Amino acid sequence: MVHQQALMILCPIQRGEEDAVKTRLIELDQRLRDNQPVILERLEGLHFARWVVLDAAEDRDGNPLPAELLFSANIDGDARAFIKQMIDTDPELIKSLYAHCRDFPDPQSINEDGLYDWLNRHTQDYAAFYIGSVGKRVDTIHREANLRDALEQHIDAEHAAGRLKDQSALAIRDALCSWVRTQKDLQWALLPEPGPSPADWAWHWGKLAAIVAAALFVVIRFFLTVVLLFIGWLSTVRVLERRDRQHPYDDDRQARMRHIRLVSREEDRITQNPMTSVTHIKTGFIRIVTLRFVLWAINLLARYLYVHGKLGSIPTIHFARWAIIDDARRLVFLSNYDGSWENYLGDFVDKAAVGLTGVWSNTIGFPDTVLLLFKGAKDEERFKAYTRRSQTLTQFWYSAYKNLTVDNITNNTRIREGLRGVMNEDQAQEWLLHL
Amino acid sequence: MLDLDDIQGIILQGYDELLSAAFLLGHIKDRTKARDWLELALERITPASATPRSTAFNLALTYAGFETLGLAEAALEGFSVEFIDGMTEAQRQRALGDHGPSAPENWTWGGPQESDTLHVIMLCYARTDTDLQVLIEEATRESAAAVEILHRIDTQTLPGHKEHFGFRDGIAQPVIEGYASGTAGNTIKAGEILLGHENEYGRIPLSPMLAEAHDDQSLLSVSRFKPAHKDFGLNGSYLVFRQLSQDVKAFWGYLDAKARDARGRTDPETRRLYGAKMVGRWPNGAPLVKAPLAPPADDNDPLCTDDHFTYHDTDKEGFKCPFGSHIRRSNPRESLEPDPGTEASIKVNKRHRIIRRGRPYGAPLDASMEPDAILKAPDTGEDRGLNFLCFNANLRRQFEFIQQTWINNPKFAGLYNDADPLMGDHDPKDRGETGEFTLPAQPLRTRLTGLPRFTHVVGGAYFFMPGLNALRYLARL
Repeated sequence: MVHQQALMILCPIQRGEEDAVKTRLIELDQRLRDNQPVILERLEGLHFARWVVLDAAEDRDGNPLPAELLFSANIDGDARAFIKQMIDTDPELIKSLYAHCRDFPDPQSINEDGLYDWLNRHTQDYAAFYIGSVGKRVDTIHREANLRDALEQHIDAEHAAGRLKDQSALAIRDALCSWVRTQKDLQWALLPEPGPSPADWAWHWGKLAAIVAAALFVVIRFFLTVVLLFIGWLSTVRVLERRDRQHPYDDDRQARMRHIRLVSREEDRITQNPMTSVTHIKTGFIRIVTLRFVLWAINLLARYLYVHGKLGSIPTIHFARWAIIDDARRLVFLSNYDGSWENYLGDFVDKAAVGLTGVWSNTIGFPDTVLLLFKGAKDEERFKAYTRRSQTLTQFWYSAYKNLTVDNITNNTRIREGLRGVMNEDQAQEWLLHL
Repeated sequence: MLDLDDIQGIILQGYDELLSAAFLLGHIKDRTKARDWLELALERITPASATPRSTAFNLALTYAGFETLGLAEAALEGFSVEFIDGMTEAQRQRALGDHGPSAPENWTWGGPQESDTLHVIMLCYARTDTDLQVLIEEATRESAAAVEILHRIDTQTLPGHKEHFGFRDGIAQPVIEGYASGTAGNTIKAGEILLGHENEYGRIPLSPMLAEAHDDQSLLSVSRFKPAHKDFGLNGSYLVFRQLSQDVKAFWGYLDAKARDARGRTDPETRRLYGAKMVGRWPNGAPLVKAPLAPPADDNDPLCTDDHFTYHDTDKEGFKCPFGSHIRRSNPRESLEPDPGTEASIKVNKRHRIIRRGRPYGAPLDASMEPDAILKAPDTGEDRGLNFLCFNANLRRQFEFIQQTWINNPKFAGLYNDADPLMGDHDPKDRGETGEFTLPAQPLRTRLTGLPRFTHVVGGAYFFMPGLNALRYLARL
């Protein structure tokens, strides 16, 4: 595969049953943390997954929105195959969860095929999807982590026995490669990792070529129109911005603090953290069009430019996804990131403010923005307050590699790659620094 | 311009010449009498405009303390969530690594075992022990009707300005813009330490505030955060106090074992080097980045108090000062993203600085502070360590961030299992292994494993140290 896939299943919950669903999800989450079998850890090709209840709410015009059950997974391979795998692994659990949803058929009568169809009908596309370790399969991540552990322990043992001292980097590398060759469970590392087929690559780059060609064509052929449209659009955005109300963030402090305590309750238990954020898109044609365009641009950048472990200069994101839901009334953001919330948000403010502002300035309650990109997220306290307010508790969350950061994963790959091929002294030294 | 008459002295000055100090932790018994006492205490409090010669006195309150004194709900809500919930709240415990032996249940003060709620801390400083005793007696007598003293925490100055592991401490300190002058990279905006001033984001942050009508005696200044409001928090700062017990024998015992050669004999040079690598400075204070192989022989060498160095351009690979060493990770300077080595990196680093005012406590195992003597000294069971105190305007972004994202984070700087070697939380839980220390080297790194936890928390609390006008307002409520 060229890159991992994103799956999202969304469905409204029957009135009055959201608490039951939440309780069940929290129970499942606790079982997972107690290392008891729950469905997700038995599934193959699953990086991260979550089940979240989006509370019933009012939309931006005051109309009621039902509570919704959101399932999200970042997977190797095909979404349909994954749904089938989930159902095959524990159909009763899936049925029991989704039985709470509004248009779910009678649980007694539905069979696995029916369940599969129903779930597929409720999948939701994303507007933008960023991947930290592009193309890395879950099993590869695990194997490369084990490889590193084994190598590090071997080096420690060699040091303790007085070997590996006073040797050149090249000699040490040779010794390590030889040792790996003798280890049955590590020999796979000496073979190249199977990558995407040439056909896959052609399709991947072909899409970009087509987009660039189309964009160039439109801009050159209709240059004046494009320029006028752009100016018109930007001025309209500016007019709208001036009309937007600046929201205070010191209002309703008690409620805000209660909410912060709720959503941060489960944070910092393992190396990574999840974020689930739901915001209301500002009304009007210009806003939704702008949002869709900005997300489309971010998705393009994520597919072709930000493929080396950093979204802009933020190195801590494993997976991040934006989706427009509820008939284009709300924007949902899901991410799995390393370290604390404070560090993550701090990175957003300090390193990626412009991109974020471009997206979220189209949602209600965001700090004052100028020309779509400026100010906005740079207002640190207000932006963090806004983010916490939009955040909802992630009731059930799963990570396939609880103690690996994006940096760790990338580094493990470098270690594995360095076992193959010929190197000179400098290259060997550079490789040894990864250990 | 900072109003030095309104700011309490200990925030801006270390009182370095007042070598004797002790802290009194108290519970307010009676609100009215407490207000009377505050009026008296105001005369005693040392402002930043003074230059104390023989004694100094400052005070701070916990959230419960402000509640007890009757500060209005509106103002109480302006304190930060971290301060309101306190250091012992479950979420905070995880962030700070306070579990197992360091869990609040086991603390000697500040934890749930506390018989009465902690409300106030009185910080007493003096030139001599005698002067200190006199000051403490006066302060106790003055507050007796209002405050019940729950604990007295003594401090002890150690030879060579060292802390108990034997390393010179307190060298690095940021400079506040408008108060003193320093290098550009080490100078931070006043608002990073004091509320009511512009911080490193160019904003005035949220502060405990009152509607103008509530300050009928006009004791407080107008808020720059919100119109028609008075700023109760102006010139105040959040004070973090954590009493850290240091297992000095375990520390040197571990290094001693690691520095043993194949025949089981310890090489004292290697032992000292490992210790220095863990700290980032030699015992006499010289930074590894500038003296990577050996410290200057003379403890009075200016290198021993040198704080003017960078990491990225002189030690990108960490060969001199390991990435995981204490000083490199508690203040990474210009070494982190974005754009390490540039202004952009320093700009972000400035958002995570604190002013440290800690003092050791407990008698040293051996007055020489030398490892051999320490290892041979009898263990009397006496507790020793560091009373860690620091000031900042934003607990979550400054102190807690340093603790959680840098110190206790085994993943700092791309590492895997390296929590801070001196004070990191090394008890494995769901966070995997954290007890390793990597010394980058050519051709191959040295890795120390199985680090036990050398530092445990035995007490702690969040306080807020108000400006004098704010205290006056409380006294006259």
